[in-house]
Amino acid sequence: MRKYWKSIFLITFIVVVVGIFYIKADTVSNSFAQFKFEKKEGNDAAVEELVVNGDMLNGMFSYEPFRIDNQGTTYLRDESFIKRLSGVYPDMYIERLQKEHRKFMRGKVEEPKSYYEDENVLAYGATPYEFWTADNFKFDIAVLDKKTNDTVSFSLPIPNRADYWYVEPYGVLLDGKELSIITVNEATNNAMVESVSAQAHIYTFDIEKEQLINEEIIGSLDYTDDSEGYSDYSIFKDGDSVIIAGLNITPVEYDEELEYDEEPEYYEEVGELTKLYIYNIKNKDVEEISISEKEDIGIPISKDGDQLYFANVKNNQLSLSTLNTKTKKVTDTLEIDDIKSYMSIDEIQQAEVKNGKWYFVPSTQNIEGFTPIIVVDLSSLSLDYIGQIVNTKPPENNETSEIYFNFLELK
Amino acid sequence: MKNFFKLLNFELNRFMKLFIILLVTIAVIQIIGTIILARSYMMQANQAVLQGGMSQQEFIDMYSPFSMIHVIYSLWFMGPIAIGVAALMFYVFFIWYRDWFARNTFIYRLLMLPTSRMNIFFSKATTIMLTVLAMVAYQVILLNIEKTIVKWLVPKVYRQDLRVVDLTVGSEYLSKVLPQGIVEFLIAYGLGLGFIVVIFTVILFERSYRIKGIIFGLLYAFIAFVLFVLPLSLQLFGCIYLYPMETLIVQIVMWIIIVGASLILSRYLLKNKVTV
Amino acid sequence: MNHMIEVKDIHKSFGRKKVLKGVSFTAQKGEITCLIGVNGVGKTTVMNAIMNLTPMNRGEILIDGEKINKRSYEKITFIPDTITMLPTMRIQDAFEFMNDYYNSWNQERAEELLNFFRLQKSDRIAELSKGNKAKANLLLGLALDVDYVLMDEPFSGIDIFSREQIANVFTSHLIEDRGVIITTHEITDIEHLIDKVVLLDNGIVVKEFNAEEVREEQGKSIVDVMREVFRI
Repeated sequence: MRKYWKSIFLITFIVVVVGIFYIKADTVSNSFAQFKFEKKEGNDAAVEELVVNGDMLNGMFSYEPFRIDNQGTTYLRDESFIKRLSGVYPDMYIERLQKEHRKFMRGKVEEPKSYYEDENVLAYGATPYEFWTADNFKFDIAVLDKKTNDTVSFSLPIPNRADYWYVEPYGVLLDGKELSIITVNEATNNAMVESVSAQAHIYTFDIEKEQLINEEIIGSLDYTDDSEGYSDYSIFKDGDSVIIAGLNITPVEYDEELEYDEEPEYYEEVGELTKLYIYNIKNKDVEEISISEKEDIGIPISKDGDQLYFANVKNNQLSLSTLNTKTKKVTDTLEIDDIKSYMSIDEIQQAEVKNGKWYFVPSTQNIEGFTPIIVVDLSSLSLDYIGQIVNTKPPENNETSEIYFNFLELK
Repeated sequence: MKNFFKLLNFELNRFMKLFIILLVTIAVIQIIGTIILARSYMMQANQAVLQGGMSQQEFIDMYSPFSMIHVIYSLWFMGPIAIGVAALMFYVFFIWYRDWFARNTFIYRLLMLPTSRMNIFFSKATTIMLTVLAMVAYQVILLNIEKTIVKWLVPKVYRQDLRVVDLTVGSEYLSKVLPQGIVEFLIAYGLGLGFIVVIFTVILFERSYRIKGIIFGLLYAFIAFVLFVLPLSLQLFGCIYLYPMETLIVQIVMWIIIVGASLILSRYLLKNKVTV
Repeated sequence: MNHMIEVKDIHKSFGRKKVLKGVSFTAQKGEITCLIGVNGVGKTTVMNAIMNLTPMNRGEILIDGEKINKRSYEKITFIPDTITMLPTMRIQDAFEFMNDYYNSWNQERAEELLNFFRLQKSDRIAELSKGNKAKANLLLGLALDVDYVLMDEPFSGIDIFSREQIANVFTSHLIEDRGVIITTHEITDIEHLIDKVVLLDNGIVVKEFNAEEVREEQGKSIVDVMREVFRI
């Protein structure tokens, strides 16, 4: 034995040091910030389904992803090895689909907007990107009958693809045997002109004949690019309707407590609605809605029958409004004051709607380091829940860690 | 088995001197670097605060507090690691070739031992693995020492204390060497072992067929590489799609195939084709 | 079963150069067989082939009727013309190394040889003179209780006194009963001990003969036969 002491020592040394290292690594998240939802007003049940995804900057360059729900905080590093494998938390909706329809979901784009689901079918429509060209040239379409497990699956080229700089998919709709994919296409013909010609298209396919049966432009989103701001659009589906909104977004310096000569640290972005279309899938009608009152109602967030809901942020204030699509009149407004958060219009686009409730958690934090949680009941336009994300374990003394709340999901 | 351990011990003993020199070099350069970095930071801070009229807080806001991150991203830290990696890479080849090229041809003795020649292969591979792991463990110890040095030289106000575990996560390079969990650790070093086994096979090809052997060996290494990246690249090009767990299993199977084939080939070459 | 090494029709080329073109001979246990040929004729290659240290292109070698395997190395040993231990080792370390791996290692005999050659256990191999290195090399091979010993040029480049000492080994009990294959050009020192001679030339065995028979029946020495065959 004495002869082998070097080998024995070496092996023991490795096992002990690496062992201790991993035992310590296993408990490392104990020292990380722990968050919870703290209610100010409202109903606790409102946040039962809420999940907020975030990252904590650890050291200088590495991020520790985490999830907060009403039970508390979980760091990705504490999840099972297989969950850690991809390095990020998978989208919960996609995760559920993959679990329930493992075979159907194989090889499908992991974007919730590429799916349409009801109790009978799961439909898929995407324009997958090729590895070599990093561009998309075809539609991939698949429909799963949940009852019989029958699958229809086919691919078709995107017609006149060369005419567009890009074709960006925004959603899938299914009406009986007809599947529609909404895209925004930007035409290449006016490349030298300053204004950009983008249009919302809808491609409709017959899933029995596996053919493209209709292509329609359902809204023009042309804009002029200038230094003052930029254009964006917001597209979402709601029942039989697709709502397409063109926006003009301008940055505003957040000037509170700014001293002379100091560069503003934060910007707020303000959005202005420039165009609004509602497309009805049943009768294939496009209605352009011009808002009579030049009111600053922000961007559309949800639709329920004739009621179209809008949200806007400006100067620490969040406002929600209801617009009647028939009368083109703003009927109702809810104002939530003094959120003390640098909110931007793009954060509204990250809000989620489920069962008539609008969930909003802005990703930026305010000066005091808290992030508001807002749940609004849309039909009554009333506040269901207002609270904030609090750190129950603030960092010790002067140690700083940056924390980002990225986006929310609903279980 | 007993002969394997004897040979392993023997190989480790042969490397020990060089290895200790390597370890001492790494420690000396890293520790000197830590001291220099910490002191130059403090000099800068003292100058700014005492002469430049800056407050401590202003200085910290401007230059960020001193932490081990400053050390591990410096050449003082990375340099010796690079030397260590280069030395071990070199040793992967040297561990075989020195037995042929020394004045006293030890390879005669090794090949004439009344034991399976694969024991020679395994003992050399294990020696490389153990020295790599020992160097990693040693770096963990060194990080702790360097952390203590920073504590001595930089007062608390200017300092951000990070644990060694945070440092390995926070550094792009250290996180490869000491990945997040023990499973990742095993995977990383399993990959390393596979790499060594393939390189050893290439060396044995060369030792068996000389010039022609280099061509066979490189061809073999290329095939092994292609086989290993095939499942991932096919997915990347969109030819197949596997769920992460399936990918992992396929990669493990590929690893087993490559390592298995390398061992079978090496055994054949050592037994029938290798020449003194 | 015959106790012997059988070399059957072995061929070996290095690149395009054919070194062995069908070499066959046998070496009996209890006899000293001498492989003789000019330099570069492939004597060492034959030795290496017997020990499976280099692959043959064709042919077969049997040791006591068996192909060589890991167990064979307890039965046959090869003493190449350079020492096979690490230069950093002391003779003591080399003894320990041999003792670690070989069941056939005979420590008593090793000590005896050490005295015989007047070497010290504390001597470091790198620091030994050429002659002493050759002796240490021989020692490590001969201290194994094996049936066959292969020696490659045991006398090359060694001073006359060491040579005598090494030659003395052949008459001692250290060799008795073993089968020895030796390659050398300096046969004068051991000519009277050789039982069998295998003359190699041009990749083949040109003559294989019993030294005693030739001596008694034809009155020729080995050198005489070599002169005839090689026309020198």
